[in-house]
Amino acid sequence: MPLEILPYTADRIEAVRAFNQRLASHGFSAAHEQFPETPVPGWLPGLELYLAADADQVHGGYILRRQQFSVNGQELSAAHYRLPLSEGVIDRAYSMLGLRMVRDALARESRLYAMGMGGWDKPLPQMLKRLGWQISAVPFHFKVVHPGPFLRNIRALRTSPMRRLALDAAAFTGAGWAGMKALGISRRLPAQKVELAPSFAGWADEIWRLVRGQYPLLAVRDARTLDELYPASDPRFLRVRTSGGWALLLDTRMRDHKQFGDMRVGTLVDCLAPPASAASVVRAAVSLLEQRGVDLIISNQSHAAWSQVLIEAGFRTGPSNFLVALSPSLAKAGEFHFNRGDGDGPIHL
Amino acid sequence: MSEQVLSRIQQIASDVLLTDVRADSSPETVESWDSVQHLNLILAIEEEYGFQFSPEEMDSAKTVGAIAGLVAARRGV
Repeated sequence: MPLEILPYTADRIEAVRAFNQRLASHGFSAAHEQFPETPVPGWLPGLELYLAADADQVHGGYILRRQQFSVNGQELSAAHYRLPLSEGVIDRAYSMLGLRMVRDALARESRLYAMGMGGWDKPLPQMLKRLGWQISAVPFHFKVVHPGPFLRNIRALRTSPMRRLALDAAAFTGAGWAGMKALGISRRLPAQKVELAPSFAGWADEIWRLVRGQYPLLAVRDARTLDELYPASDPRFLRVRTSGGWALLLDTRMRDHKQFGDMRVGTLVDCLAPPASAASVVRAAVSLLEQRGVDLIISNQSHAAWSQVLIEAGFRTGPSNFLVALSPSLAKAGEFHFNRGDGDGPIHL
Repeated sequence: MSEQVLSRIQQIASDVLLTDVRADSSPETVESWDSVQHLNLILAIEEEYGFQFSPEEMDSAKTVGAIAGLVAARRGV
């Protein structure tokens, strides 16, 4: 049997396991370098898994997550192209698989997007760029609430013994706090009363109807979709409701995190409002996270209106490796509203 | 297979892979021929000749000579 791209069926689980072991034996053993060893992973709705396989071996695979998008006010199907893995990374005999898989995915759904991807230097964004996809980094914004824990934990700055010593001293003496205050990095917003909703049912559809035409391109965010993505049964999700919009937040105590150490990190994961009302949503979200006692607040937001109001609320912009790639038929829609609620959702936060 | 096609494919491959290649050159024998460069080579050839390789053709495009053979077959030369 020649190499074909087929839907993942249960009889291929052992072959997928062997494929993962071959990748792992060459150092590709991280979660994003291993294909699911089940054809029905349950973490998101709308998943379709495909394998590149011959008679008895699997040599690659990818996942499509089908979604509805609002494209200039019209509801259309699209899909997230995720976790493409190819034996080409360890065996050059399969170096054509990456291209073959993305073309196979495009044949199934021409409106594709990919997210994250680990940075500009990785093979996937390079390939997609070469294929004419539009690629950009989703701006990363951060706001330091408690300078001491921030200085003691932020791994991106603590890169040498000398720097660690200096940052620890700044945290201990309060010099870091004073410096950040002077620079406006640690400016707290006035506390305000914030409404938290137990789910999106019963109110989020009205906001969706009002807002969807105001962004050229965004994933459908009606109440049913949101309650699937952020189920009411999961206590981690904080749903801030304002008069014209909402924000979905996380408040996470990190443990030896590769970027945030042991900080308590608040994340503005997802949000929706008319661009003109984004500021009131951000103020409510930030106020809640500050009152809860987080050390740092972070957010990735692609749309200029949301980036702007974050900066006005005291956020700074940091380097971003969180990329979004749009296939040509999706890219022509115009300015898009993407954040950590898109793609895989907030699974890494 | 047309010598002209082989010569042109060798030239494109040399430009993409930044090294001299022969008809029997393959990803196994050319250090710079990794998956990204393979993609660049295939796309450069598709752009040059104005067609897209089928999945089966991509599977068999494992040497410079094999790629030239596929192009020649497409062009009927």
